[in-house]
This record gives sequence, C-alpha cells and structure tokens, in this order.
Amino acid sequence: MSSTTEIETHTKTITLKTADRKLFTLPEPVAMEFKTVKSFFDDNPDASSHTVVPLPNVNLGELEKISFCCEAQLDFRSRGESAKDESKAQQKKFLKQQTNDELKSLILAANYLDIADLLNVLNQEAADRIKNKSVEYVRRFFGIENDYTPEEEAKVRAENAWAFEGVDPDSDVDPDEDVMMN
Amino acid sequence: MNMGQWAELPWDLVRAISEHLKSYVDYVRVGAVCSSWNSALPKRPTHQFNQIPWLMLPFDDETQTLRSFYSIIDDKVYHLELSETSGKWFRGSCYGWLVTVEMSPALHLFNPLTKIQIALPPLHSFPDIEHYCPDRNGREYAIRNFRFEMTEFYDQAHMQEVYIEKLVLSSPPHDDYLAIAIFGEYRRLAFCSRNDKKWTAAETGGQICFRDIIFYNDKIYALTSSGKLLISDTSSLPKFTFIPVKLPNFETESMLYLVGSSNGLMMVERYYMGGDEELDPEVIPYKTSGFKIYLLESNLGEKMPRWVEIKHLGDKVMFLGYNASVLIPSIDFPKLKGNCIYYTDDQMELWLDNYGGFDIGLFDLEEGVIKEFGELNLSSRYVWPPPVWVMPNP
Repeated sequence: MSSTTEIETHTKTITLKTADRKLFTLPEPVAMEFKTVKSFFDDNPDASSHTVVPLPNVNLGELEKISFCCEAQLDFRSRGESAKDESKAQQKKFLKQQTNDELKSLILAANYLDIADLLNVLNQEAADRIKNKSVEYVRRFFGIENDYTPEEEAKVRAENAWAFEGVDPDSDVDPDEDVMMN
Repeated sequence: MNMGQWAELPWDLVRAISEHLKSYVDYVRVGAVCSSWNSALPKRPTHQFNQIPWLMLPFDDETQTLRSFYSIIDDKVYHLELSETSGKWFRGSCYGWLVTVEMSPALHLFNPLTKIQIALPPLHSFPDIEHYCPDRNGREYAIRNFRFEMTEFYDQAHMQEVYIEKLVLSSPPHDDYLAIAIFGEYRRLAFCSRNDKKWTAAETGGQICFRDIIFYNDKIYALTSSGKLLISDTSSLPKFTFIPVKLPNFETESMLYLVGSSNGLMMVERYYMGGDEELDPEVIPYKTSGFKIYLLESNLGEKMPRWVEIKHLGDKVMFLGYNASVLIPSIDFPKLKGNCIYYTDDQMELWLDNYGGFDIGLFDLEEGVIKEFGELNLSSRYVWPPPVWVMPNP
C-alpha cells in the first residue's frame, strides 16, 4: 500500500470525507485509532491509502478535534509513564474548553468512529457535568422530551422520593450556556 | 448541531454515560428523565459507585416512620419513608445493607434505598441457645453457659438488645455471601452462608471477647478486645488460627477496630477520656478523645509480626462504628478533608436508660483534634437510636 510519490512526510496518511462533504487528511496511525476506519480497510483489502473513506455521520469540526486528541494521546503513549500526568492535564484542558453542545457532538462522533478510550473520557465528562443537577436540567442537557404523563412521572419520583427533594429546578440556567466552571 | 440525532441517543450511550455517574442519587435522577431511559437503565446498576457513607440519624420510633440520612459531601439530609425499621436494632452495616435485629427472633439484612429485606437465620439459631419459647414470658431464651455449665434464661427484649455485637458480610447479599457475627455474653464468633438455616460456631481455639471482624484480601480477620488477631478463610471455616503479633501498649479501656487498606491490615485504637477527675459521670459518661492507627508489619522473616503505629492516612478517610470499617480516598470529594476518622457510638456496654449513642464526631489526624461535623445539633448525652454509617448503595 505504500506510495513512493508521498513527498510531504514519511508517514502514510489517510483521507476521510465528512458528512459536510469536506476532505480531511490525517496520519495513518491516528486514523487507525478509529475502529470504524480500521474496519473499512479490513473489509476492503483492495483499498489503498489513497482511497477516501466516507464518514457520513461526522462533521469536519468534530473530526478535527477528535483527530487532535487521538494524535496527542498516541504521542503521550509513545513517551511512556513519564508523560502520564501531562497527558491527563492536556485532556482536562481540552474538555474544559468544550461547551455542552460541543461535548455532546464529540460523544456522538466518537461513538460513531468507535474510539473506545476517547469515548470513555467524553462520557465521564458528560457524567461529571450532570452531577448534582435536577432532572429538568439533565433533560435540557441531552435535549430529551419528557414523555411521562404527570401520573407516571409522579409515580417514578415517589419510588425514590428522597432523591428529588429540595433539588433546584435550575430553571434559569440553560445547559447550552452553562459551561463547566472549576 | 443535529438536535434530532442527539435526542435519539443510542441506548448503549445512555447506559455508558450513566455508568460514569459516581453517586447513586444522580443515577436515580437520570432514570427519571423519560420513560425510554427508565427502561434502558437497569434498576440495580452494575457498576460500583464511588461514595461516602450517609449517617442514619436518630429517630423517634413511636411517632415517626420517616428516617433521616445525613450526607457529609452534599451537606444535606435525605428523608426516606422506612416503616420497616420500626422496633428494630441495628447491629451492622455493609455495602449499603443494615443488619436489623427484631424482638421476634428475626434477623434481616435491609437496604434502605430499595427496601429489600433478606432474612438471615434467626436469633434463636445461634450456637448456645438450647431452646426458644415465645410463650415463656420473660424467659423466652434458654442459653447454655459453657463456662459454668449451666442454663440461663433471658427475655427477648434483652436478647434483641445485647446478643449480637456486630455482624459483617463478605460481599453484597445479591449473590452468595458469608455472614459473620460476634454474639453472646462471651463475644464469640458464628457464621452462616446464604440459605443456611442456622448459625454455626467458629472454632477459635478458646479465644473469646471478639471486638471486630473484617473480610480482607480473601481472608477473614477477627480481633479480640485485647488485641489478639485470628485468621480464617472460606475453605478453613469453621477454624480460625491465632496469629502471634507483637502488641503495642494500649490505653486502658480503648476499643479496637480492624480496617483493610491498600497498604495492609490496620488496627485502630479508639480511646476515651478517662479518670474520674476528668469526667463528671453525671454529665459525660464517656467520650472519644483520640485514635491511634497501626499497620500490620508481617514480612519480617524469622521475627514475629508486629503492629507499627502510623501517623497519617494520606488523603484517605475512615468511617468507624457499627458499620464494617471502611477506608475511602477523599480525592473525588473536594468537600471532604482527607486524613480523618469519622466515628459513631458503638459503646453498647456503657449505655444505660438515659445516656448513650452521643459519642460521634471526627478525628482530624493532621491536627490531632476531635471535631464535630454537620451541625446536626444532636444531644451530647442521649442520642437514640445510635447513628450508623450506611453506604447509599441499592
């Protein structure tokens, strides 16, 4: 699969085509962190590194961020134990910069691209952001419609009444604007 | 951003995110978001929560069925409707399950969050109990006193109150488990497995007056009130083997606890203000004044293992009392100060009609002082029933 006309770098690259019809090129080792991409090549032995991989469920914005994260993690991993703290700090910094909407988009993208480690980290961040929040806040955070009838909802709340007591409905805090402060 | 796409979050993502929730109260709220999420999330989550125990506060059994639980990290009180706890005494708390002792001889494990009750073999199935006659008023239990080779009679109220000192489980009772209890006048050990009909006496080579038991590193450790350490495991039961350990100099009248840690087995000594000149027994019959912590040092080749005093717990927090002792890292709980011991009153032998249960607080190891927590406004003399640490685990 190697091409002797690659003059930019000695690393092979893979090109992906996003849902918004943009082309994105990234180093092969990084692309192979995306199980979805790896499966594409496993399932298509005739494909070369020039073959553009279609990813109809990811936009360029998310792909760029995810690629950045994975490349950084690969680099830290190659440096071994000593880079562990730096890796954690970088990840923390990156997560803090994401708004709730951006975080959600990244989760969907990482899920589609099937990147287990990154998805784990993103899911933990989402869990941390809904910690101690009311049910209404969690609904708005995830954009979920409440499909309970008032009677059904009352029943569910009554089952564990203690968990719903005295929780601020956060009605004046919009999850779209509420960014994690720490 | 495609809202529609997000609103139809795949089930495995919903579950994956909920598995990252560290406290059960958050998990419950997420389940109430909508009916499809409620169906997708298992009622009893499969992952472990990372939590600090709640403190079950005293209550008036006659008039209330609402029980209050104080959470240190949320600094709030949760109220649970628990009529199932009326008339019962609590003699243990493990993995979120309370050990309840009734005056009828029933013994149960009770989970305050799910209200599930699991029966243990009843009180009258303990070793030494020759017979139990509920009609023999005031003398319902006939107990064999093996020391003096005679039969003694006790009433069921007394038995409910004093017969079991502490009961500990090997694991949460959803699956197979082993239960070990310190029982009887001589504080011996008995155990049972799930589905057993009675309690079996442990063989401890004549050792009695046990004070604490824990399951640690696949072994069972038992400690007497004089500091003797015994060990067993599931394949060695009923036999416990004595481990000779060089003992430290204990304070007089101190209480001992066993705690498992990642650094090894610990023994904790809890000591009290003593001496008549320090305490006016009319006012404060006893009060915890400090703790010492020892770590078992056993890799000494030919030499006898010994207890070495350690001066700090790092960032960890310990919870002691009727519960199975736990040591928890405080790193995930910014409001919790590490290197502290939170304790409740389990000095059963000193309780009388008008005092008891009040000796609760926290010991700050760094500063070496006893402090109060939570502004709970509890009496300094009589707090009933004595508060117990309970992990909020379904």
